Amino acid sequence: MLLIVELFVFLLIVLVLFIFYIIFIYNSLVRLKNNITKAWSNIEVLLKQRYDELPKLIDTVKGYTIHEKSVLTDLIKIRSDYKGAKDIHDIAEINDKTDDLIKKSFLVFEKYPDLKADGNFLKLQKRISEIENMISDRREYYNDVVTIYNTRIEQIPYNLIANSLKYKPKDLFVANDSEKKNIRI
Amino acid sequence: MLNIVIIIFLILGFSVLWFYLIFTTYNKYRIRHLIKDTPTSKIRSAAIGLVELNGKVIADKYLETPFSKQNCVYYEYLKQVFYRTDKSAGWRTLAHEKKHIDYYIYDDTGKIKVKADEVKYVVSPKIAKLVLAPRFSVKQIFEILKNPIITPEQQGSIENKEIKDIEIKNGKVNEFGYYYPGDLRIIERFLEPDNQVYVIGTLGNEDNSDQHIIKKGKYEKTCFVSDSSEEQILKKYNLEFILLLIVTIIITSLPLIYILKLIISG
Repeated sequence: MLLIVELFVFLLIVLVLFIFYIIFIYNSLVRLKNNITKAWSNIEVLLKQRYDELPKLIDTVKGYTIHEKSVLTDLIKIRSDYKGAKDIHDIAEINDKTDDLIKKSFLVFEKYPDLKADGNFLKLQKRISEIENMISDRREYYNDVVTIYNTRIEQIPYNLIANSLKYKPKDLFVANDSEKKNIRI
Repeated sequence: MLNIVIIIFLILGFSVLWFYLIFTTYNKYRIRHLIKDTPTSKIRSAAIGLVELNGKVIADKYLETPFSKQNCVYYEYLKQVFYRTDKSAGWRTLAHEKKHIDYYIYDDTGKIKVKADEVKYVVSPKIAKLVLAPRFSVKQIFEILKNPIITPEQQGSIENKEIKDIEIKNGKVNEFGYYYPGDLRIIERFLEPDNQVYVIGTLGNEDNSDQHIIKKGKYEKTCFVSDSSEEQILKKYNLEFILLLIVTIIITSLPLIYILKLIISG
């Protein structure tokens, strides 16, 4: 009889621990998934801010005689490309193109001393560079969060709960390999 | 009848203890995973919500540690006297003081304020000294026992006494040694300027201001600053979790077996 009591207590404790462990796994997966949504929203906010700054930059530059008109055309085009992006890889590709284009544009604008001395231009240049740095940091953060999530949903016993919740691996914020080759402008 | 009353009281008493232990153990495990699952942000791009940062400490002005006279933004000072009776021996705390001021964490991308009074500090001892008893007169010991805060005069007297370093290994003060009653032990933990720290907390706006600040979140209460690395903190939480789990299982199972036996035996 006493052995039955001890066995019952043992099973009861195992059951309680098991229930807590399942609750923990579930909560942990939900948190990881929400982290990805949050990290992505934080990137989107910055991407939007940067594309909103581009028309201001174009307006400022238009007041000066710029010989390399194609730079301005590319800046206008890249903004509309961003609006038409379909998935995360598209956005990553356009983001990489934008980084290169902005660097190239600033190099071109540096050749015009009047423009370089324009307070508005300098402010915009600083602001866009700050946003670019922040996008790069948050991109790294997003990819870290996604990597943790993707690893976790494949680990035992997380995969059992993840499968029942239909959690799928998420894409990293990177351009597709084939697209990467065409990034340079 | 008496048995039933005892059983009810035992069940009620242990239920509270079980819930507390289970909650604490679960929380340890949760925080461990929270640290593991949160990537480190750069300060300039940290977003509102739970953040993990690595940086160095800086402030506009500094506090001074009571014993070692170091500039710091936070210190915890502990003064203990060694006692020995027929039954036991150990350290009795004479003075324990914690202080902090507002400060910032910075990395190569920027700096951010920390709400010092909402943060928990997990800081290793930096100074551990032993002031040998024979150097104090009986009168001085009584003075110290009466007034646990060291006065400048006593500070002067300590400086002239024999003071030994106590070994600090892996962030812990060595507890072993042969001490005499009246030996004083002084332990200081502090965060000095440019101390490398690990921070986890909620990034939000300071009250009535747009300035960002690290504080305890409305929902996620985990918020601490540590001079240990993330790996060391994870190891610490892991160890504490395992110990708590063992204690929880023992404290849960033994009384439960006892109560069930009481019920069965009628």
